[in-house]
Amino acid sequence: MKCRVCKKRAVINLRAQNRGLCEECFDAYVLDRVERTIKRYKMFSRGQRILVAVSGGKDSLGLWDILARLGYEPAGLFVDMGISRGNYYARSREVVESFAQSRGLELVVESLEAWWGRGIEKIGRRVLCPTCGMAKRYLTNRVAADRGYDVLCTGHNLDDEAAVLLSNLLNWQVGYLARQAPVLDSWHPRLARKAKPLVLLTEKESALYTLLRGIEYVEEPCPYSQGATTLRYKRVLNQVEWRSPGTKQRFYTLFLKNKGLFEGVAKEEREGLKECKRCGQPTWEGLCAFCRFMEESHGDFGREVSAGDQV
Amino acid sequence: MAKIVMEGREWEVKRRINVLRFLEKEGINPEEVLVLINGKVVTEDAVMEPQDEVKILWVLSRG
Repeated sequence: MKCRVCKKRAVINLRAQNRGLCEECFDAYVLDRVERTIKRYKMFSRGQRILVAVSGGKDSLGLWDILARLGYEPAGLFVDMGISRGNYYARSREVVESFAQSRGLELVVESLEAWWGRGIEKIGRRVLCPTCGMAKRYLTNRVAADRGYDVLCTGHNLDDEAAVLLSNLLNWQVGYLARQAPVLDSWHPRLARKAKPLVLLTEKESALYTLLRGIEYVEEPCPYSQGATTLRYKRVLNQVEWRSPGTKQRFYTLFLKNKGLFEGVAKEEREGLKECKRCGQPTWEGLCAFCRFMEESHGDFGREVSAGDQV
Repeated sequence: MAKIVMEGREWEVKRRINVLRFLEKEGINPEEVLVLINGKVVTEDAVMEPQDEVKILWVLSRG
């Protein structure tokens, strides 16, 4: 297959767009696609303080690289959740630090243990993906908001978003549907604005970008990973995509077009927002999900390092 | 013969074969993989020759 633009040997067949692209034209396509996504959804602009949550995986490192190449000034945030099995976080941290160093990018490193005296393996009876994810979201939001970043970016791609959308629809999770968006505004001073600049890139495109850029990343999943459900939805969608190219993008972008259907729920949620009695984070309950979990697990859950303290 | 590896799985193919045909035969969705022949990323219409080293990379993250 030849590149549609320059006729060189293609490295990818973008079947949804009915064109092949060579390495150089694919690189230009990715940069353009992400820049357009940022503008289309009014995510952020140059000069703003951007924090990218980086795990050491292909999507987040690829995103960090793209934003830097586009002339934004993104700092990275690596949160060590305290998973020692398989040396997982130590290896991830090494990969992230080496990436930041090689590109002269600012990296913020935080750890659950430094904030609350223990890592995720020592909280609760066993490590559960949803709990770890919730704690990670909590911590990344706090770091971004407390340190005054304008936006917190994550590397969610089109496959991630389409799979979550399918899951939310199959279970009619209207609250989640109301909240699912490429950019989430801050409704509260302690709630960081969030953006997902890769939402219009497929997982295959994101992986190819990282590969062609020679970015070293952690390939193995977390040793406690229980992502089987999301993976199943991704695979179902890819089966449809193979037969009907463009399905994933239509599914997601047409959902965004029709999001007004959930505006009533979204409004109710915004109006019902309170502050957590323990940490002051926005929540719909008396205690936020994180503090509730910590209190249920430990009663007194240790020292909380105040915002902005170096850990 | 062409040696094809994918996450611990391994195949040896004696004759030249089209990438797409191989993936379909093995039940691998081309949307979910990148194929490298002798270290170069190729599209599904590429052909694997008997002397080629082929690596198939699974792209979906598992959490």
